[in-house]
Amino acid sequence: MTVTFRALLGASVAFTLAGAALAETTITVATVNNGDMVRMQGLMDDFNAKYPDIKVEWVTLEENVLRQNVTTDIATGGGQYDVITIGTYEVPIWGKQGWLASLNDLPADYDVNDLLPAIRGGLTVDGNLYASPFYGESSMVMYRKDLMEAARMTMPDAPTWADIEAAAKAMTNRDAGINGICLRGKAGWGENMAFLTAMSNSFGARWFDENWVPQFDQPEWKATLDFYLNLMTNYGPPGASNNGFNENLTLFQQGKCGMWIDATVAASFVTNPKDSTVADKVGFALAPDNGLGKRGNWLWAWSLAIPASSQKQEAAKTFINWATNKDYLALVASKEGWANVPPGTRTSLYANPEYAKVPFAKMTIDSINSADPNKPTVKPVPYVGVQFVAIPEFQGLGTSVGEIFSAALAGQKTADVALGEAQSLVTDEMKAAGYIK
Amino acid sequence: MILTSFKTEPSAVAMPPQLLSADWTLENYAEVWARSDYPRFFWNSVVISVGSTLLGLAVAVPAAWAMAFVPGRKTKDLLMWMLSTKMMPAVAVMIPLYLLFQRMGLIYTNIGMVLALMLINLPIIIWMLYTYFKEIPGEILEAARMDGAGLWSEIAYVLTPMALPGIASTMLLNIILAWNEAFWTIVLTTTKAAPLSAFIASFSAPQGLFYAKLSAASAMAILPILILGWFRG
Repeated sequence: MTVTFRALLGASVAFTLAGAALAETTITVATVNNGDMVRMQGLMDDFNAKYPDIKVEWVTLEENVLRQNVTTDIATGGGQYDVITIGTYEVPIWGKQGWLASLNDLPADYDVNDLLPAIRGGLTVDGNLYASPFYGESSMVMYRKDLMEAARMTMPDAPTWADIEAAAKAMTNRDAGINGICLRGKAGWGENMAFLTAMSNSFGARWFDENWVPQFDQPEWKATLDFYLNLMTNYGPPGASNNGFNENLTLFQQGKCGMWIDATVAASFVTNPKDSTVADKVGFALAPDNGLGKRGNWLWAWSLAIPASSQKQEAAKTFINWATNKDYLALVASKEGWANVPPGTRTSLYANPEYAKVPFAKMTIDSINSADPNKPTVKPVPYVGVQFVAIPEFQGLGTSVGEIFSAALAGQKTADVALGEAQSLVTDEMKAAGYIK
Repeated sequence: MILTSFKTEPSAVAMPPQLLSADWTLENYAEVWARSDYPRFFWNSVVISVGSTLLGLAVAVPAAWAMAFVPGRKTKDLLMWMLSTKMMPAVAVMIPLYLLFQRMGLIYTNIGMVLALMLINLPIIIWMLYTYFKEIPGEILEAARMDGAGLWSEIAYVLTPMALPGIASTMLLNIILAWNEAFWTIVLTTTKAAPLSAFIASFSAPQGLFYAKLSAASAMAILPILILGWFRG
C-alpha cells in the first residue's frame, strides 16, 4: 500500500513538474513590422490552440534596428531570441559563421521540396537549410493602365529599358503633377543600391570580377548610371534622391507616378482600394532587360531562423513549422483571402487555381523564377546575391556607394565623378579587407 | 504628430498635408493598443526612469556635497572629466557595455537598465546638484556643525531641504532624460524590460505605410511624461 501510494505520489509529482515545465516554454520571436508579419501575430489563436504548451512573445523592430540587435545578440551568444526574422543577405554569412541552427530536421509535413528552388537556394549553405522562408519577393514594373491607354501605348509583359523610357516619356505630365517613373534614390544598401545593383545586372555590369577587383570603371556601370540619371532627371519626381520604398509608394498611391519599379510585395498595397486612389488602374510587367539575357529584378525573402544560442530550439522549430507550412497559407486564405497570403515561397501556392486569380500572382512567380542569386549577371562573379553581394563588408560598401550615387541623382556630381569615387572607395575597402592586394 | 495619429493612413501621407479635409479616426489607437502590451512597456518605463533617477540622486547628493563644500585640488578637473564622458558617442562603448552586462547577468533586466541609465545620466545629476549646492552659503553649514550636527544630519536636515527646489528640478529632468532614452534601451533590452522607446520602434516600417499608427504609438509614449511635466509646471 505504502509502495503504491509512494509510486502514485511520485508519478503525480513528476507529471505535475513535467506539465509545469511544458507550460513554461516561452519563445521570443524577433520580427520586422510589415503587413504579413502583423497578420501572423493576429492569427496566433490557431498556434495557441494547436500548441498550448508554447507561449510566443513578440519583439517587433524596424528592419535596421532588428538587424543590429540580432547581430549583437547572436555574435555574443546572448540568447535573447529563439526565432529571428532574417533576410536573404544574412543567411549565407551567418550560416557559414555557425550562428544559425540547421532546419534540416523539420517534420515531413513541412515539405521542404515544395519551397521555390530560387528561394530555397538562397537559404541553403553547404546543403543545410538555415532559414525557412516566410515570404519571398522580387521586383517588377507597376504601371498605370489608364495613362498608358491615354498615351495610346501598350506595356509589354516583358519590357526592355527602351520600352520603359518611352512609356515614362509618354506618361509624364508635369502640369498634372504626374511623373513618368518613380524609382528609389534614397541612399542605402537596401534602398537605391538594391535597385541599381539589380538594374546593373541587366546592363551586364557587376560589382566585382572573378578576382574581387571592383568594376565601377567598366562601361557597363557607366551605361547603367547614365541611363538611370537621365530617366530620373527627365521623368522622375522632384527630390527623388530622398525617395525610398515608402515615399514612392505614397506617390504611386496618390496617382503621381506613371510607373514604379520596386518590390513585388508592393502590388498588394497599390491595388488595395482602402489606401490607393489608383487601385483599379494598375498593371504589372516583368522588370526590364537590355537584351543581354538578364532582367533587372532582385530576389529577397524574409525568413525565420533559429540562433544557435537559443536554449529552446525544439519549440522554436515547432513555431517555424507552423508559420511557414502550407497549412499556414491556407489559414491566411480562409481568414483574410488569397490576396493576403504571404507570397513567393512555395510551388504549391502557384499551382492553386484560387491563388492564380490574384492579379499579381503570375507576375510575382515569373519575376522570382527569373532571378538567379548564383549567377546574377551576364559575366561570371565570385559572389552570391542578385541585388547585394553576400559578404560581411557589403552593408558598409553598399551604403557608401549608395550615398555617392544618390548625390549624383541630386545633381551634386556627374556620373563619371560618382563612378570614379565608387571605384576608388570600393578598391580601398577591398584591399583593407584582404580580398585584393 | 498628434493630428497625424487621428488620421487614416492615406490622409496621413497626403501631399499637401490635409487638415480640415482629412479623414479622422480612432482606429490607429485601437490597433496599437490591440497589437502590443502597452501596460508592460509603460511599467518598464516608469521603473527604469524613476529607479535610475532615485539611485542617481542617492549617489550624486553626497558627491555634489563633497565637491561643493570640501573641494580638493582636482575637483574642477574631475567635474570636467565627468562632463566629457557625455561627449563620447554612445555607440563607441556599446559592445564593451553589452558584454559587461551580459557577463554580469544584467542584460535584458530592469535592474540592468536602471544601473545603465543611472551611470549615463550621473554626470548631469552631479553637475546640476553641484551648481545648486554652490549657491548655499557655507556659513549655514558651519552654524549647523557648531550646533552639533554630524555629516549625515548636515546633509539630511540642512542642505537637502534648502536645495529641495534644485533637487526636484534635477529629478524631473532626469526622469525625462531616462524616459526618452532610446539608444541604450533598445540595445540592452527589447524583450522583458523593454520600455516605451522600444514600443515606438516596433511601429516603424521601411516597407508599408504605418505613419498614422507610428504617430499614435509615439503619442501614447510621450503622453505620460508630458502630463508629468505639466503637473510639475
